[in-house]
Amino acid sequence: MIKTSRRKFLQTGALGTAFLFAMPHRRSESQSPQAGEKSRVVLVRDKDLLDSEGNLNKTVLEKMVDEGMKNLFQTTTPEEAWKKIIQPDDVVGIKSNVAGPPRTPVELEDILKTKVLSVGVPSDKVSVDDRGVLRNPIFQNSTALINVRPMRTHHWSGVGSLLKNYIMFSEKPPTWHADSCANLAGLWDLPIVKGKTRLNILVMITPLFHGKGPHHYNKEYTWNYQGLVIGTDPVACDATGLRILKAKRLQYFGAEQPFAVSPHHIQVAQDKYNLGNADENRIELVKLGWEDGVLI
Amino acid sequence: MCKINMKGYWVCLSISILVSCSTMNSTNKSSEEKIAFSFPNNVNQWKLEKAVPDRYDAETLYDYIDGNAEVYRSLGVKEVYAYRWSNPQQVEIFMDIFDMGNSASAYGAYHHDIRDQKDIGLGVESEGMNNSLAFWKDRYFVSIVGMGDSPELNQTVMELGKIIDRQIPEKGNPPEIVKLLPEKGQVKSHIHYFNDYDLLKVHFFLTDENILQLGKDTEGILLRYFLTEQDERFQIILIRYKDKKKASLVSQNFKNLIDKSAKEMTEDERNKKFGFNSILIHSHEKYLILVIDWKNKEIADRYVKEIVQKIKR
Repeated sequence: MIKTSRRKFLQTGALGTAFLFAMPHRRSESQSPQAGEKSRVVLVRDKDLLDSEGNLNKTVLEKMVDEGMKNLFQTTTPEEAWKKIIQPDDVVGIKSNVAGPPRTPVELEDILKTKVLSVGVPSDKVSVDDRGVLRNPIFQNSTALINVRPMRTHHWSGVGSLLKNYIMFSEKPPTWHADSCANLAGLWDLPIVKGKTRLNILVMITPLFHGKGPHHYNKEYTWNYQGLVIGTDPVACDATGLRILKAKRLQYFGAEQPFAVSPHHIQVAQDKYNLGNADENRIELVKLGWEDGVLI
Repeated sequence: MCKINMKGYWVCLSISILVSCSTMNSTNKSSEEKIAFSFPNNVNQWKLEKAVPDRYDAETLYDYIDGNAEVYRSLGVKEVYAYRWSNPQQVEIFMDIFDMGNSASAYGAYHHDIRDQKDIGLGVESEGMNNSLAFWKDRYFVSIVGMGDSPELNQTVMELGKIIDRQIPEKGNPPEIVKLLPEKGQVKSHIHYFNDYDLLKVHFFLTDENILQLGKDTEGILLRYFLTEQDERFQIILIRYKDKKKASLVSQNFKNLIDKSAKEMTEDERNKKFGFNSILIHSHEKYLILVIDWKNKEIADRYVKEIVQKIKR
């Protein structure tokens, strides 16, 4: 029987020492929100993004990016939105993710690069990279970063997130792996990264909501959600993506199924690093486009 | 009191030697020689891309599977043989053979994941799921994943699994420590073997610091329980240390930490520090027994008693 007293209950018996804490809790979940403004996050979906064989329609994808950008920055045209975050004299690194499946679609990489060029950034001042960012002169000298990756469950961090996408900026990625990568938000303080991120796009086209084995992948655990989560706050985008994965797991498994590894690094990014907002009530979520199966 | 303890010491010392030898035997049953795996050039429509696999050791495994390498490194992976198969439509099959060094680690690699799918009769334990399968046998953990979904792909994945299974002559045994866990209420899909604290924390968060002092000379097992009649859910962590003194010391330190936190921390601070609601801590011989998140202490006591009885045997 669970004690409801606020005092710790301690028993010592022949078989050992038992400790019973008063309040049910789980680390890093449902923390109290702090004062501060909400983070605007746009979830944009389109039912025509993938055809019946799973092929991606680049035109539809570009339209989704445009709609998302306009709504996020509350402009009348996507061009205005891009000019709000990128200047012609910027050196722009687009941090992608190739460690799929699913990986960041090359079509999306191409669209983002084109958008940056359209602002007036010279072609030799923009680069898309993942594993090679530390050796890439554009990233070494970048003034602006765009962070784009798919969300998928992950062996060691619970989920592969926008926060985790910056691990390749570390000289020693394994040093961030302790406690299910709890401190990934600390990556955002690295000099090569700090203060440079202008846009985050969490790719939710075919998210992976459960995984097994060394590649942590099975097509059975993906579905055609056909969405993008766009924002300037990486924590809020990740928290939104996580809500979608949780909702899908509930739908698939028929009951709440805890992640094999706790994705608490997203909550830690809010509570310990103040990098952004993870709590749902601190996120202003705008949903655009296809509503069927939106889950949240 | 002292006499009883002394008697207990001698009785339990002989038991501990017995258990120790049997653990060693379990490890020694793994074959010493590495197997030179071989495969036909084609299986159904799938062609082996390279006859010689890409090989990775504990240091280079990150290059292959990124952060996922931590799991296998933690369990002492020796080498990984990575093969690729592809058909004319470029649907790939990833076939990986992990040489984990001994069968306990192979068991650990297999049981890192939740195993809730059907057993397909390969190796010692196996799981199949449409386009993928996994099994462990002897010192090897095998994972085969098809990057699509079709009956032909699924059949080919299964055939590849059988080809590997046939080439591993020895079976190997699960770690001895698994046998010490009470049977009733086991959620067998959620059993996890570990040596170090980082790997334990992936599955269950006790507290930040390595209060259990896990390391190279320890092994542990985490298992979920669900007693339907009593609607009681809890978890057991059982750890084997190198000797009784160490197990007793860790037990006392853990109790002291909790006791201290109760006196010096606010409830909120304590809730952040510890990842459980209730815990029963007991050491016996070189084992530490933790029953976690029980609601009914009588049940928790009963499980501790049963484990102690099994250790004594």
